[in-house]
Amino acid sequence: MAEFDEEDFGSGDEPEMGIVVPFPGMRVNDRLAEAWAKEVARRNQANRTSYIFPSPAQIVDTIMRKRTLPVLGWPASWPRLAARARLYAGDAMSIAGPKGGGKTSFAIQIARANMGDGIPVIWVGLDLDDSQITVRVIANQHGVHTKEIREHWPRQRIDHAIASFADLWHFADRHIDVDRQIASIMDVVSITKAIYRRPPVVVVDYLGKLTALAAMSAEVRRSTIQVVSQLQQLCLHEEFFLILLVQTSRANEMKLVGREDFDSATDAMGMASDASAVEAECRVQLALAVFKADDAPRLDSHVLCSKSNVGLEGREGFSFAKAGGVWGELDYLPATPSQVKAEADKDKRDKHRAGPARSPVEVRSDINAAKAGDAAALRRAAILAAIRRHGMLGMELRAVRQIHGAGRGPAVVQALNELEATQLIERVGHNKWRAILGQT
Amino acid sequence: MSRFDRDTVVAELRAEDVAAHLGIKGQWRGRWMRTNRCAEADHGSDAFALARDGMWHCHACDTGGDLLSLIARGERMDLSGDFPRVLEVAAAIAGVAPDDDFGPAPRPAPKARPAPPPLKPWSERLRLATRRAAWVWDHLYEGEILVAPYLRTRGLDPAAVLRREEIRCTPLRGPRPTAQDSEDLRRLWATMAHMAIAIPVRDVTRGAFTDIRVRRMEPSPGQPKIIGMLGGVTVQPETGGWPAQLAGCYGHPEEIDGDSVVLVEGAMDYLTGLQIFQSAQVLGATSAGDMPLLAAHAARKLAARDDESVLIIIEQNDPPRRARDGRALVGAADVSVNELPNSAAKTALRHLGPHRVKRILCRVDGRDDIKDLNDLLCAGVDVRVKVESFSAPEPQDG
Repeated sequence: MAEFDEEDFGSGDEPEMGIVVPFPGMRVNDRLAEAWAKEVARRNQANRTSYIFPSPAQIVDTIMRKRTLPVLGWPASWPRLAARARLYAGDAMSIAGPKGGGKTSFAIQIARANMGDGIPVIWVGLDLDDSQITVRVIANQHGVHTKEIREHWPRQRIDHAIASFADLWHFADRHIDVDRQIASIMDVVSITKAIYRRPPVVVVDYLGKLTALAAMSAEVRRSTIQVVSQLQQLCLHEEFFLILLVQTSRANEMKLVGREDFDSATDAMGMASDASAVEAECRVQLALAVFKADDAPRLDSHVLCSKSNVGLEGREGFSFAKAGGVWGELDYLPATPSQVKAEADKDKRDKHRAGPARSPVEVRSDINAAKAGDAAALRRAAILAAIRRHGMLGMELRAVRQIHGAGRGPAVVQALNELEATQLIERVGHNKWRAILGQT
Repeated sequence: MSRFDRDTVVAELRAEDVAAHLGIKGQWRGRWMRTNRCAEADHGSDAFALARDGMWHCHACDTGGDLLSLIARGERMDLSGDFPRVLEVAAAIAGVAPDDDFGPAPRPAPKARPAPPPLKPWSERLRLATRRAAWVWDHLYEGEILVAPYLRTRGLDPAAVLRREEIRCTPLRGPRPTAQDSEDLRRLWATMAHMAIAIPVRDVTRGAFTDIRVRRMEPSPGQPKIIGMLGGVTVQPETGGWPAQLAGCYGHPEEIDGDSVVLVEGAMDYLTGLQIFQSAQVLGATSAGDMPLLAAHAARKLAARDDESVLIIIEQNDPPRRARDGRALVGAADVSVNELPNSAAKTALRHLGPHRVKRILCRVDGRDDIKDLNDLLCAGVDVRVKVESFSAPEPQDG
């Protein structure tokens, strides 16, 4: 049957594409490599050593093997931060923030996202005990205050809530001796890899407690360097994801509560009290700036990516709901306290105002509304530019959603509707849009 | 020749032991093992499925049956003609002594079979599956007139279903392949020779067809209702440290964009869901084992989409069963939705939280015959009132 032969499903081998041009025949010189290996072997034998001194050509297999390992999963509702911080197995990330700044909740949300993808989590809880963390995970998942769970939830309800994550979550035992603590982390990682056959996410909550175990205060700096280095080596060797929660130094707390402004996220480098060691060993550094306010159930915040392994340092806006400690990504940067204060002061100084000066809460709300409007305009511009690039064939909704900066779900559809209403684009078919020629 | 009591042998025979004897290796997921090796041949995809209760089916060869028929196939014997010999081999595998002896025969050595050829790389398998599915789809019969009568027998409104999904019919159009044609084509033709309805399985990234699932209109007892296209793929197996991922399902997994998304299991429940949930997006797992992967995929997409949309998981009423040897077996639907470490309910809750995940259990008190969504529809139950949400927080003192 000629028709089927033309569509030969699988028996024929596809010719390999020449993907490396020009000089596809270029290769490593075998003779030089042999001479190198021979000399290394000779010296090893003479000196009773076992050096390897590999060349990059010998590391390609490792690169390809590492590609089969998963990357750290971010909560799906945080696409902008996920683009800035991509973490591979064997990489470490630090999350810095002041006391009560939501570090643990932030890490819990990352852990939940990874468990959703089938990646196990090891929690090294050195600050809060296992029961406190468990309650906080439930609170985060359900969006309720921990107080409600601790005081009111019946056992059956707690059992049911725990059943959704208990299969993939384990606590590392706590030890007073730092070497035993690190050995226990090593053991629990080995067990996890044997059982789940994939690298776990290991969260150390928080680093200061671990380093404090190691030494008296006079030697804290040196012990921090040692502990972080040991953990990073372990992470690299065992190929898991390491998340270190670190506290900010007291001197820098003013910046992370928004009382002091700074120009770029990289200015947040060195904010952690364990700064130099953490900076050296972590591929990604995040700092959480939560703008506290009295009696506010939801706080504005900035997450600063001060060191990124994809080179996208910068900051993203977040909101932090106190009930359950739930972090949600925004598509704009909310106002900092210093911006609010400056605007409120300006209001007060305005002698021509007709009414009373706005309160700081009103000022914050107005600034945020303006910023959200700007973000929507940027979204529309990004979508329009992409649709124009696609030309007359148009662009499907699925493709529009992939545009960087297009926003999430209903925001995309709203932007498309607004562009359609202003006759900049037109609908082609069911879910496809194209630009209208001549419109600018 | 020794005499064996058939019932005793069958009661003692375990699917795992028979698979090991025939050199069939694969990973058990819940009560199923899927692998690319059947009793007779090695295939390009996981075409062979064996259940712990002993039922098996090879989608590539379109053969199936119980453990005795599996042994007969593996040993190249005729089940009816060589029955005493088949029973003898089965007894040896199960460790059952003959009626006229006082000790079991020694367990036979596992059949020596060469290692199965390695599977092609995933990207290549997906590419081939896509090409093959497109070819098969083009060779199916179109037309509401062929499909509508069957849908009506299942209590469905053909217009409502066909407005939302394209369904075609087997057998394949065109001349029957001859001995000169490829083995692949002859097998494909044989598996799609029945009069059946064909539903496409779409790829999660582009929406291209990766499999064509064919549902027999009148399956004979013990025969699987669904057969998949030869070489079709629905799951990307786990590699290195990556967990298994959903590759394809019924519906449009490539574009999850609904305020509510309904997840069902199986072809008929998928079509039923399309009719019942007119304003929701309906996705169907091709088997119970795929349900957790489908839930993970849909939950991830919904979490990325917004903070309000909901996921409704339809749980089939699959009560615990008792195996022939007396062991209690949990139903496959229960395992895939509730029990596995990454079950559908667990993954959905981890991604979305409890307020965005709902459930419909296909059960009506006093009606043991109602097991799935289609049964509920046929029984005249208003399915939408059966949506269960997480209970409201407990009232606080003061």
